[in-house]
Amino acid sequence: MRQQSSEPKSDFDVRVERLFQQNMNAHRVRADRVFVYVMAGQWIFGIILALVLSPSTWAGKVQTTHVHVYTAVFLGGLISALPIALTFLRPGAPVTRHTIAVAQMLWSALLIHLTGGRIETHFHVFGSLAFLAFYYDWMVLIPATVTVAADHFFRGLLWPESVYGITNPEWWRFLEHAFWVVFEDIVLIMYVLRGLEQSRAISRPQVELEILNTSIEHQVQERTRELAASREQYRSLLETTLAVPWELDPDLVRFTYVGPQAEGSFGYPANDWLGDGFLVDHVHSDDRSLIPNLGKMAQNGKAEVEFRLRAQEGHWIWVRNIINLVNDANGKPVLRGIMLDITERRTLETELAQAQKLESVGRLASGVAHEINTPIQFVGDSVHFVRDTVKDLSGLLGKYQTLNESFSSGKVSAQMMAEIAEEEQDMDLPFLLEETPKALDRALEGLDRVAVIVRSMKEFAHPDQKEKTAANLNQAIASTLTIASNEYKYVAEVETDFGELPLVRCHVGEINQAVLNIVVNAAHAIADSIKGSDAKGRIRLKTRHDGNQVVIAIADTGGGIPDDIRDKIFDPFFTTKEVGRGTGQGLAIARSVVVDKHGGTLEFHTEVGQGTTFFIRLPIDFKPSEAVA
Amino acid sequence: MKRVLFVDDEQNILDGLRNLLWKYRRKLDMAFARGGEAALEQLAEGPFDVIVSDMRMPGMDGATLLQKVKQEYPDTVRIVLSGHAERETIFRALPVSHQFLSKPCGAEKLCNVIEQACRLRELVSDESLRKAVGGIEKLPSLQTTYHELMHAMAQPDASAQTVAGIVQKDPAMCAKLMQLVNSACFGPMKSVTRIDQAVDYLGLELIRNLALTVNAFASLEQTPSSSVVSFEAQQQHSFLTAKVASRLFPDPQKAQDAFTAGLLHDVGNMALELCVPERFPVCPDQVGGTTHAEVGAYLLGLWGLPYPIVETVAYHHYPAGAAETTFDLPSAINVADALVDQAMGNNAGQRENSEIDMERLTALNVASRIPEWSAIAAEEVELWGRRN
Repeated sequence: MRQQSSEPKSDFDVRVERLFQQNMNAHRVRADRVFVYVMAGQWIFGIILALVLSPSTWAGKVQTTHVHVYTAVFLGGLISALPIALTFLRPGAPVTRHTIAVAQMLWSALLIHLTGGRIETHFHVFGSLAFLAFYYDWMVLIPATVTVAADHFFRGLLWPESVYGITNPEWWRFLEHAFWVVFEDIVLIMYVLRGLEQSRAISRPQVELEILNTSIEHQVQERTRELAASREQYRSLLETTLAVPWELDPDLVRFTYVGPQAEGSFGYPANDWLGDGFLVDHVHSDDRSLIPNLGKMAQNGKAEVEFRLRAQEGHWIWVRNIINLVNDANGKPVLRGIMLDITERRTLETELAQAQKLESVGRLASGVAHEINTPIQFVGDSVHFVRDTVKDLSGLLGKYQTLNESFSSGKVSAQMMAEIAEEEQDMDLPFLLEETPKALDRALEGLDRVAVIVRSMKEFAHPDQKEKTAANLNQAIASTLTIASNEYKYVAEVETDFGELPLVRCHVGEINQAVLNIVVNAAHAIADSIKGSDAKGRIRLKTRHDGNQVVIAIADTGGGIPDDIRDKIFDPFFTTKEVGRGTGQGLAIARSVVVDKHGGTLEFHTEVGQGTTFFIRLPIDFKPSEAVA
Repeated sequence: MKRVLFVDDEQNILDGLRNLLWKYRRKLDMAFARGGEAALEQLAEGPFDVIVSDMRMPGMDGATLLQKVKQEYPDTVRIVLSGHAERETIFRALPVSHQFLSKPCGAEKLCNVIEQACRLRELVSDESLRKAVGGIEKLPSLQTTYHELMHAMAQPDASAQTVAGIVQKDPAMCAKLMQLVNSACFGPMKSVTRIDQAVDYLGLELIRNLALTVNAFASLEQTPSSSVVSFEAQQQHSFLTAKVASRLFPDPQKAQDAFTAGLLHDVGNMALELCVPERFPVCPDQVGGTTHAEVGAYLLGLWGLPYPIVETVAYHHYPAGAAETTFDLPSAINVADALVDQAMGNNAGQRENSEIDMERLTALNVASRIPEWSAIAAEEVELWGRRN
């Protein structure tokens, strides 16, 4: 900062000099003001002194006011008037202090005169000189010294007793006084010069400080500006992106802040968001159960929650929320989060899930076709048989009718009887009579089978369902097993152990899909483990009601899941199957259905060489009224 | 009495079939087996003329069963009746079965197929020849044609026309595609006799699979030294017969049928050559009283080709035996066959020249058209000569 340069007129030095001059000037103005009082005080003092020492004089018998009194009043006034005036008119100016110096010395002369040259008043000279040194201007001492010297010199010649109190002082008396004055002058000049130097030295750090201050101030301004810019940047980042920041009071379930962009995305003005119950009122009824639990979910710091919010225009927007549970400035827990519109992704996911469903329906189709083709084959065969039989029987019946008529007319011939007997023999009547009812039963059984398969297909797919509805999961699982039977029936026996289940509010088509995917995996696992042998595996499905949950356990006797892939089985596109047997979507979709869409859990227990059991847990029901409370 | 064995894992199916075929009880001796093992046990007890088996069964499946039947009882006609009509199943069935029916199969169709299969056996009386022909999985193609097809199939942008153009030069490929397209699972409800239609119905992807994965086609790597007539000359003759025969009918549908029949009319020669090369030079046309026409018809019949084609092949040297009442395929092929031989000259005695059945033509009132047809034959032969 400070330039140690050889140039005398560096900016710093100029500033130091200026400051020093300012300080000196201020100091001198103050000194001027002090001398106003000194001048006035000396005047009053001079008058008092004159009144005390020689108030009056006797000229003969007439007592008149002593001339000294007049001198003190008028001459003293004269001496003090000019400097006082100057201190007001020209404060701090050299002429003022030089005038004061002269006036001060004149006061010394006057006081010496008034006291008749008493030595005590001579000390006033020394005091005055010292006083004048306050100006820190040794030049002031020159007029003062000249004045006092001239006064002593001329008065000493003309009117010595006025100066020395005696009429005939020694010739050197003047020199003696002059010597003391000069001596004091020298001391005072040294004092003044030193004082000036110190004062100048003090100015340096002051200037340095000033410079530092200025620079700090500058920096502060800059930082303030940067801070403002940065705040603006963050604000615009936060409030102009499509991610809506928000803050929520978890106890009241009420927003305390919502980014202004929410209005653009959802249509509600910011104030509406902050209203009581806004979130609960606008969330999709299927997702409402999530809302009171937001705080709980974020307990371990972070949570990600997806739900649907109704936009003002009435459509649903899927949002993903990344939530933080933090304590605000007052130590009260608040939820802060960012809300992202993921409608498009959800739509794609739905389409993907739909595509996977179609894929599996397509794969099942040939199996289902076989399941349907088989009964249709034997139904058709049996009905054909019955038709032919009826034809044969009606022919026979005709013959019997003829026989009957012949009998009534009494013309029954042995030949007729023999013909009938031959025909009966020919058509193998006992076989037909025995077989026809069986064929009809078989046809009916086949039709039943077709009906069950077709109904299962419809129950499995549930193509029309948009909202969650109450569903009988046991029935749904039975349907799913029916249409999947071609996938497993050659490799495994299926056992079902259906417990008493309450109705579960769900997208039953999607739950079917999840169950199907797991069952198909089970069948494939078994097929791999029994390859090359005639043995069959076993798939066991068990359902249970457990508190507020329903548990579906699907156990297979396949080869189990190897250790190193256990954490990957739910990843999309992860598959261990050869091309054409699976796309790796099955378990990913099952998990998405169970966990994301129904708030349930999907876990598995596996033992290599023993088999795997998957557990689907679904919350039974969700009553919106409970969630609001 | 013909013996037919039905195999399925579902008792209801077997019972239904028993009911359905009850009316044939005088003609057919039917047996029913639940599953492959049971079927083999029944086969061991006595021979069957026809076996009708499901494909997907627990334990031994249909493909395994029919493979065993093919090896041990090649004389038995093997028919698949499956509820699965997906390609994988068909490709597995293709090498081991003669015909492929899919459930649900109409009673009439099923009865026809079984009846026809039984009747076919009468064409070839020699049991060992029947066995040999029954074991034929595929016929050989000319090496150049085979490579042409393989090359075309390796092109991702091959067109149906290109493929049809190749297939129509080759009786073996034509026969295979006809077998497939007329099996119940690929083709339309009615039978297909046109090559371009067959290619369209099957689709290039499937033909590519047939060619590259299933090896449904084969090239004749070397002409058997015993062969009297060169393989290439035979192919040429078949193609020209097809061309000429197709020009004998103004109706385009009929013309296409004639083309296919013409192309296939001599497959019996190929079959004989594959089956009994050692006996072929001695008696090129007859083995134990059976002509190449009957052998060809037997093979094509086993493969389920439409009846008009099979009949034509059977009677192309003796059109009077066929059921035609107007000038139809058997006579047309008979004429075209002979005219092509004439037009080509005697070919240094490589072939025995076919004879025109003039009696038959006179009876059908077309004898006067012979000169016109000769001109067509000469034109086609010349065209061929210029192209090659």
